[in-house]
Amino acid sequence: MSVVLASTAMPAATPSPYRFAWLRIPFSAAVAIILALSPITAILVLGWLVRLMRREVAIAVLRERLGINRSAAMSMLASRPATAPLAPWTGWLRASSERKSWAGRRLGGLVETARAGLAASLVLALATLPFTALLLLSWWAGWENSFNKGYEQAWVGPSLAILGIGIALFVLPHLPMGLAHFAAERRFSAMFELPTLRALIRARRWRTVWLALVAMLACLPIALARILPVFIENLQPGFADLPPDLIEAAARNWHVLPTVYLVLALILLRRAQARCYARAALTLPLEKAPFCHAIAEQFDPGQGRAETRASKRTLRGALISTLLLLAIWFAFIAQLYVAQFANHGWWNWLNHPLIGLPWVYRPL
Amino acid sequence: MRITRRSFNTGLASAVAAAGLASAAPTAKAAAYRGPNVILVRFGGGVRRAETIEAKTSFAPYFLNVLAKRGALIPNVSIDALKHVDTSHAEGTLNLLTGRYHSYDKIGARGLAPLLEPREPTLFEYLRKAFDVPAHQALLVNGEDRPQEEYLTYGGHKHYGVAYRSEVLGLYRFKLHRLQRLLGEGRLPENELAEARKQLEKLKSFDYRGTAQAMSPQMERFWDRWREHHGDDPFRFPRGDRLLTQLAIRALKELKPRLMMVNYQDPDYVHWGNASHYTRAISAIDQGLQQLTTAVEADPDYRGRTVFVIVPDCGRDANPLMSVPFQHHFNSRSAHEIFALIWGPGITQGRVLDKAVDQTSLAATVGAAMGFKTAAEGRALSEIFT
Repeated sequence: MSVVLASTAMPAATPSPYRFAWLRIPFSAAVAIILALSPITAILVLGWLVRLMRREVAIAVLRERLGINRSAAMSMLASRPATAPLAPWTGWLRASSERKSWAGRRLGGLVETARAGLAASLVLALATLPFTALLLLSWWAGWENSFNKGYEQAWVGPSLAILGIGIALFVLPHLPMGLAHFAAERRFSAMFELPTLRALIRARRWRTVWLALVAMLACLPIALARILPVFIENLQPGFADLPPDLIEAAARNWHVLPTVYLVLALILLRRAQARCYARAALTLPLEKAPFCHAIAEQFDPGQGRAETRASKRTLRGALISTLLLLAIWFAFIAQLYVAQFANHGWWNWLNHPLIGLPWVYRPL
Repeated sequence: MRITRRSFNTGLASAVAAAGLASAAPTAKAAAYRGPNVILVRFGGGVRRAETIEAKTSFAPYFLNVLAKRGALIPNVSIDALKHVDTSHAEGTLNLLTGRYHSYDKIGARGLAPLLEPREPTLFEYLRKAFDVPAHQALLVNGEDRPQEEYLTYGGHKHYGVAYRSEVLGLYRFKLHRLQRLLGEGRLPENELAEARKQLEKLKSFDYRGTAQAMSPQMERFWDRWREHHGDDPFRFPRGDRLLTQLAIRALKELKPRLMMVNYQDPDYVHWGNASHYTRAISAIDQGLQQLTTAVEADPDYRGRTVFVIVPDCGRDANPLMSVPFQHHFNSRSAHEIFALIWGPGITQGRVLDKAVDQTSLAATVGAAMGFKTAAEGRALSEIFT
């Protein structure tokens, strides 16, 4: 479902009408943290992050096209009924698209969040399942075969793993742009429009590499949060002697801390990815990124595609950036393997909280 | 053959005296061994009490419901928590074989498995120095393909060492034997002979002490018969810990070991995260114990003359913060908590020894039962004998 916005003359930037807007950020983040503690409600968090990305895309489009600061971009969005819902920080209740009814404006956000969460869960599962399922199967089949000393078919597990890693290295570099494109366009197919995604990556090649590196590094604390409990008795002597209720409390707390980190990291990361997407999208033809162009046309009609900030296209640059992207995402997969060896969970093959459903798997 | 507490204590005292004499006159010919046979079973790969000796959660029904009633179960055996001493398979096995704790330096590694060398004499060396027992009757039955356990055959003590080493049964030894035979027979085409030479050199490179290649004639004959029965292709052998059981049973018939250690290991597969590998491997060891017991009872040389000592090399974690709480054994409290079962002639039947016992006591107890003294840190468990 794409958004088509009526083009009108550009209004003057006005101060943001949202008083105490800054309070919405910690409040909504706190709600996200609480919801991210369980896998079902984490779907809502995923939806909220998708809505957050859409808002960030709109702001970044105006900043890029008009060369204005963030505050001015938000004020401009607020000045038009069609874009006004995108101006304030994305809350849990308030709708971020135009609603006629009072209830729709006040509570439509919850419906939007649930819908976006389910849709994003589905597209992310479709995009990642081809490799996550293979990684899971290769681990299971490989070690099952090794345990049973099935030397005759010893090649099966490693071959599945190599195939899974190969598919992962194809899918993962496209995923951040794909999610941003999906968030902006609100179409299932947006995640799978490979030519568009490749054009977006080409347009912001080095930024994409940088954000992949940041994402990979952001996964390290999540990996550490899985590895460190293995050594809990070495880190906290006497842990095993604690009463069961204290051990359970420790397990709960251990789950909460990575979740807090996860939500905060995702807010920053998804916004950065949305900004990168918005700038890249403006370099594409209108039909490839209608949402971004519609926002831009709303306030700056007739300016066409932005060319100036697109990455310079050279063969060497393309080769180096592609290799870097592959190396970074390979490091991400290696990190997953190390964490799985330290503290194995079948679910962790299927979902990485920084890539898919924002939920840190917990054993208790 | 029956060991009473009196004969056990007498054996202990005479072992002390014999040790003194032996050091005074090291060249004197050792006496023939007339004590009980001992089968030391490493319930290996690291297992917890929960999945073995706790009735509600055990995966070892034969061990718990049949064997435990025949002897003395010691539920509270522990590995001492010492600095620089790990709860690993290699160290746990050395604790059992030498009765001593050490901070070991790796002399190498094979994959993730460290190569450790005993610093103290092993039970095999004590036995063979004290008595006239040939190497093939002091047997280690090792894991399927674990040359790193070749290093368990003897320690670095100057009064013991290579002359008193044990022999080894395992796939690694079979491969060495088979390749040497193939090259000796010379019936293969030249390209296959060249490949066999290459493989042999690779296998020999794991054995820097050179003992694996110098098998006794009895061992050569054992492997020749094994080849006749199973063929040359290891794919046709029993696999995993079942191979150890088959090797041990065949050894009872053909080699008549007086002291044999069976190093089961497969529960350790759970390091890769599949919980059923752990529980299924415990079941496989349990079945192996049943087969070994049946074989011993069917053999007049062993029936009523054999003491079984069954003990893990180490425990496993009980970590509630992990999806598979027993995935590893990283020096946690639970990894130090093991158990032991000793049964055979002269051992109190159906007894649960409700005392804290150190893992190194098992070596001292084996030594006292067989009539030789060890330098074990733990004490010999005289109270389990009738």
